[in-house]
Amino acid sequence: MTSLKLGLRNLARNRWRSGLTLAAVAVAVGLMVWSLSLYEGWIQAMVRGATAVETAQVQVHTAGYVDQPRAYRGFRLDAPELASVRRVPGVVAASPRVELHGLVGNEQRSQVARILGVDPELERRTTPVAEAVTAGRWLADEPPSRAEPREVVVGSGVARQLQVEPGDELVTFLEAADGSLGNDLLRVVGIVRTGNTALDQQTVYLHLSDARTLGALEGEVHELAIRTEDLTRAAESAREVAAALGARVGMPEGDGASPGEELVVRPWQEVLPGVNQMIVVFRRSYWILYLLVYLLAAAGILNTQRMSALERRREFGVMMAIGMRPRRMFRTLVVESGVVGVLGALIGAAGGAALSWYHQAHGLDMSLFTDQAAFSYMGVAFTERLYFDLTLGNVVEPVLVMLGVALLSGLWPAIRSARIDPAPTIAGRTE
Amino acid sequence: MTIRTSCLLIALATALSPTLCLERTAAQEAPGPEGGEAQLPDVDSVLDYLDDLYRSSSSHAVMEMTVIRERGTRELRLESWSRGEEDALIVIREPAREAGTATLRTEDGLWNYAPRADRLIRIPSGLLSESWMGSHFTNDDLVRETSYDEDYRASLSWTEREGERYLQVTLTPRPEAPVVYTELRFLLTPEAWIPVRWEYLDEGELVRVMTFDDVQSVDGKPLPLRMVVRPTDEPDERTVVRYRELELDVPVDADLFTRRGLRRVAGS
Repeated sequence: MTSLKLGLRNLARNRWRSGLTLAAVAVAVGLMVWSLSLYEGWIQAMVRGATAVETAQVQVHTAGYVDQPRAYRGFRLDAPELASVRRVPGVVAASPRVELHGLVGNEQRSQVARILGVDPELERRTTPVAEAVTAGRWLADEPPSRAEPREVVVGSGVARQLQVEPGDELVTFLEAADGSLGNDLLRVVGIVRTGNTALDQQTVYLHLSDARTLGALEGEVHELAIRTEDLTRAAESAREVAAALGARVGMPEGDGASPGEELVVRPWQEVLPGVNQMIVVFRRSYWILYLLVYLLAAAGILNTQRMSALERRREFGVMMAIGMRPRRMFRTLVVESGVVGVLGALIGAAGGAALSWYHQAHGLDMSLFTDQAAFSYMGVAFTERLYFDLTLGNVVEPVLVMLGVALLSGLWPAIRSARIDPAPTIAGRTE
Repeated sequence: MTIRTSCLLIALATALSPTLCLERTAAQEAPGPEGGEAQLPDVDSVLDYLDDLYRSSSSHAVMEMTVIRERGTRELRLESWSRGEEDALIVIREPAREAGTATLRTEDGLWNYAPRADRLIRIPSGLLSESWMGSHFTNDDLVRETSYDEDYRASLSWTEREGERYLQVTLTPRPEAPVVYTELRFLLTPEAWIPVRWEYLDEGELVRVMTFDDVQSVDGKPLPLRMVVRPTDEPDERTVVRYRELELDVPVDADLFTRRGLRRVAGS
């Protein structure tokens, strides 16, 4: 207790200097809290962007299809099964899809495209693709009469590559599930721009029934994409969906027997392992940020403590001479650093949390940093506003790390002071 | 040593007459390394013979193609026409679901005809190494985008397979030529120079084998009327093409190789 009193008194003796150190610590902690909330918000946005338009958060396939997507590796999904998936708590919507790969184009140019057959209404509820229509419209609820060309909505990159716009005709030509050659005449009704690069450049949407005819897939689907309420609960939702369908969760381990027709339910972490891996690596890199930011704060504390200890050398010498124990001396000085650390960290945490909270509620205008209001990075779409993710961990961790840093940087001046030899110090002779 | 350009026929061959243009570097190697070996013929004469073997100003053929894949077997009946060195048309006649589906090749490019859509769709050059109509032939077999003329050189040697002696034409790419295969070996019968087996190698590894048999006389020339292509990575799979009718140097209307002409024969 006396150490604390002594420490506080010492700090109060040079308020200007102590205040500056305190400010450095507070800024460092505040910056870390704010940065972590920003990055966590960025991760959330990235996962949402990576999963929203294409995969959704949970997917169902046959194990064989996951292993090697082939047109013939589909499964039957009847209305009662689909309804049972939708009844799972946390499931917002589910979209059955047929996925084919083949040529799409015309006499002048063509490209290999991923042809997704979807139920327009269910797909609209599962992904925001219908809102991403930039020209024309989304697929009508019912396909056109058989005499008409089939409706197709193309990705913006596909439209650019093939130089088509709504109203234009396209032809598709592909190998169907039974090995035969399927073809059909399509009419572009809309163009979507999702910001998801792979989707925009390769994908076209057909009515589910049209894609089934084209691919010789009566009653079958390749994929069930499920949208869940909470990104972070995707794994739990996957388990519940699997229970509803009588399917397994995740791919079987090892590559022994060739995977068969068993249904597999996978959350986004497993569907997009690259994204998951990136998040892990990204979170590890936070320590680099800590190092950079806290190194400056540590240098500040170290400098202040060293200066103040040197200034008080003679005083310390006298105190030691009248019987103060080195351990006491050491403690007093460490407490000084500790107080600066604790006070600064608390102030910083409060400030950082307040600012992060504001950005969580209102978002940070990313257009400050880029010319394009909405942009896409690594194939993932971002909106112009980034919403922070302020968690307890994002506040507590920077504070705890700072306490450690503050105590460590106070250690050296404290040790030096505790080792003072009173006689020469009082005499003014340097060591 | 003269360097001439000539053409010899390849693969899906007679129907399409995709011509294999080849620069003769007249790799006039010393005759047979082994003492008693018969002297190698002149490389030019062999290539000339192969040129003339399948060369015709036009052709009309009916073929059966059997595609044997892991998942099942498809039987197709094809009809084809060719004219000159560039124009070719192959139409699927059977099965009914695919009847009318066609591939058109002209000097301007390669298209598939989608009968249900009644439209042509261009096959982009990036897809040349992809399967042709679900078979083990590639689109490149039909158009021969890779230029043998510029990219490969030819040499002759004797070789022995399963006790039989063959004349081997080896095509090796010139340095830095952008080629799919790093070596092509054409095995011919030693006397009559009839194609027997063509091997496609990549980095010294055999990736595809085409074999020829059922030799019959067409226009007085012995021609193999059956060919089998096998990918080496799928030992159970193969595509077999068998000629049912083959007419060379018959009148073929140039108009056939247009959208209009194609539609006429594809619909019939």
